[in-house]
Amino acid sequence: MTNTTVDPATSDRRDSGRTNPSNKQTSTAGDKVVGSVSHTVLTIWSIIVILPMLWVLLSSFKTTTEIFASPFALPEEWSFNNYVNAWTTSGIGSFFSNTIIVVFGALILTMLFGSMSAYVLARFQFPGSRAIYYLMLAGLTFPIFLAIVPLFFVLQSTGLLNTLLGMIITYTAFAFPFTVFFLFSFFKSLSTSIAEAAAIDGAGEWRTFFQVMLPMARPGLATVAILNFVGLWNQFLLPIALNTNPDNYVLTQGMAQFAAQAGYSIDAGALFAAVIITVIPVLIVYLIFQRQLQGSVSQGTNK
Amino acid sequence: MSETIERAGSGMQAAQAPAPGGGGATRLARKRHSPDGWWPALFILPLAAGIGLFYLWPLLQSVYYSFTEWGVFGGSTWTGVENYVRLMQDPDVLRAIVNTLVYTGILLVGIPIAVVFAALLNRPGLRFAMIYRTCFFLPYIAMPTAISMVWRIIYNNDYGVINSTLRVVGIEGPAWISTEWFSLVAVAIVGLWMSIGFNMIILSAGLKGIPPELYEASAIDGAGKGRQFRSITVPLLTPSIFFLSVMTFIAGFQLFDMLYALLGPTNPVMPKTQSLVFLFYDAAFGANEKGYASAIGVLILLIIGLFTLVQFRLQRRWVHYAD
Repeated sequence: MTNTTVDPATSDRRDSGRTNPSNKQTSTAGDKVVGSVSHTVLTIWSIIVILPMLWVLLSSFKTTTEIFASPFALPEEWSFNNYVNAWTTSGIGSFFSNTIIVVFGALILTMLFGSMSAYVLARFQFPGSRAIYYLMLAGLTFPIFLAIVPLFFVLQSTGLLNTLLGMIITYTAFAFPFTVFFLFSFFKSLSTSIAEAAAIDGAGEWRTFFQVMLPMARPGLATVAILNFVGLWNQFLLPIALNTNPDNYVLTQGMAQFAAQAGYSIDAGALFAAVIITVIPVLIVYLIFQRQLQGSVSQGTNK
Repeated sequence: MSETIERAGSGMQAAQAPAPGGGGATRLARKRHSPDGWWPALFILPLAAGIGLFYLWPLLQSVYYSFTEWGVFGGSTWTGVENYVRLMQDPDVLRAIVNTLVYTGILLVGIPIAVVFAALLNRPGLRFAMIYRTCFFLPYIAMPTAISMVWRIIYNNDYGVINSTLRVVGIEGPAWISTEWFSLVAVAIVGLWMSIGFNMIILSAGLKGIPPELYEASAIDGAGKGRQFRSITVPLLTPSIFFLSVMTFIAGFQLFDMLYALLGPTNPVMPKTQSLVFLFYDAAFGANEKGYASAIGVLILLIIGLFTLVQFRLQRRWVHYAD
């Protein structure tokens, strides 16, 4: 057993490794074995994950015949033709702008009303506040598809079926329960003394909320926003059922349209370019969010 | 059911957003009574209206619709339990339940795999941890319909990458996405490939909660790495593992996007591969039998509820809560 003697470095390493992963390591033989096993296993899985993605990226610069004739070769000529085709001929361009409108519209509404509601529910008790909280929980519990059929009729009778506005409202309602539930626990964990101090200094409730509480809740808001963004950006069942006008298609529907044309006529080059186009915004948001979240967490705790 | 979400939600929060000043909830002041004026109601109104009209009212209506039949030009008639009787005799429904269970079962395999990966990834001082983490998470944030389209080409019988590679070494691979069972497993493998990243995020958060003193003490007592993994890491991760198994079940039972995009809605093997949600979608918007579709929806809800309940009952036997 290599670990029978007390290693004085172990405790330090464990604690500091948490905050500073690049901490220098003095290791025992056992650590080294586990270390190399870790890297081997983790590298293999990374390759399994990344290889198909890289393959898509490479293939998106090749012609369709090239993709099938020599799937693993580098492109003979790096060309953006596929991107142009995907954007125009396959309609990804207009699906992209539809998705931006719907997702950001819904995201703004969700974050604004969601944070307001969560704040009120977390801080005040009034007749019906518990009822609303439990309604929210119920909304979280039921899978969305169960609401789709009646939603179809609600939208139809309000003239919102197959419109972008209808999608914005549906997405908002769909993202609401999770948002409020998450922010509710977040606002509860924030100290109330600051809000009370602001009130004593004469700030109205609106100012207290928008200028004091909301900035304090930034890490929570960032987390919910990213989760909602990914969830709504990738949403498929809602639009395919409630948004059947091809002019208003969102990206997921655009991708599925490739599935419908199927078989041999499939323009694999354009398809791969389209895949890259759909993934990039989420990737960018994810990478930005990671940094921002870390920053705002430490900022929040220092105050 | 609300308990599910409460735990799920807190697990989610622990995983995604370590709230500043963790202990805040306990020393939180009592809620203030009777706020000044009407403004809280004003804050809440859009929420209540939106949720009510576009979420909860439709949900209640769904249950009502499941007892009705819809004519071609709209208008419904009350038919009692007829839809449910039909449900129980429909071989497609039974097959869809089996398919959904098989798919979910394969997804569950991802949890132990992710436990091992997460334990390796979260060792203190591991280099490139951030790179690994980003790699692993990538398939989870990518659009499932887009990813499925890529895999559809990878799996393709004639020109797909898998089969053309197999052909080079002289093996004629199966028609992955148009053969019964193979098609379902093909979809599940992609699901597994996507879900491991998410599992690892949740488990990493769980690992951060294990006190390092436990490892130190056990090392003094002579425990090796393998023993520490079995006797400390896994038992103390059981709350996260439990959370994941509940979430995996709920997610697995809602399989739709990937099936649709990977196999294609008109794939001849679809009737033998379809999930419950696909059946629901097809009945509601393909066959335009909205009453019957609603009954399928209610059935899915009942199954999810039942499994969640069973999981909560069983958790006492294996989930270890620190407090």
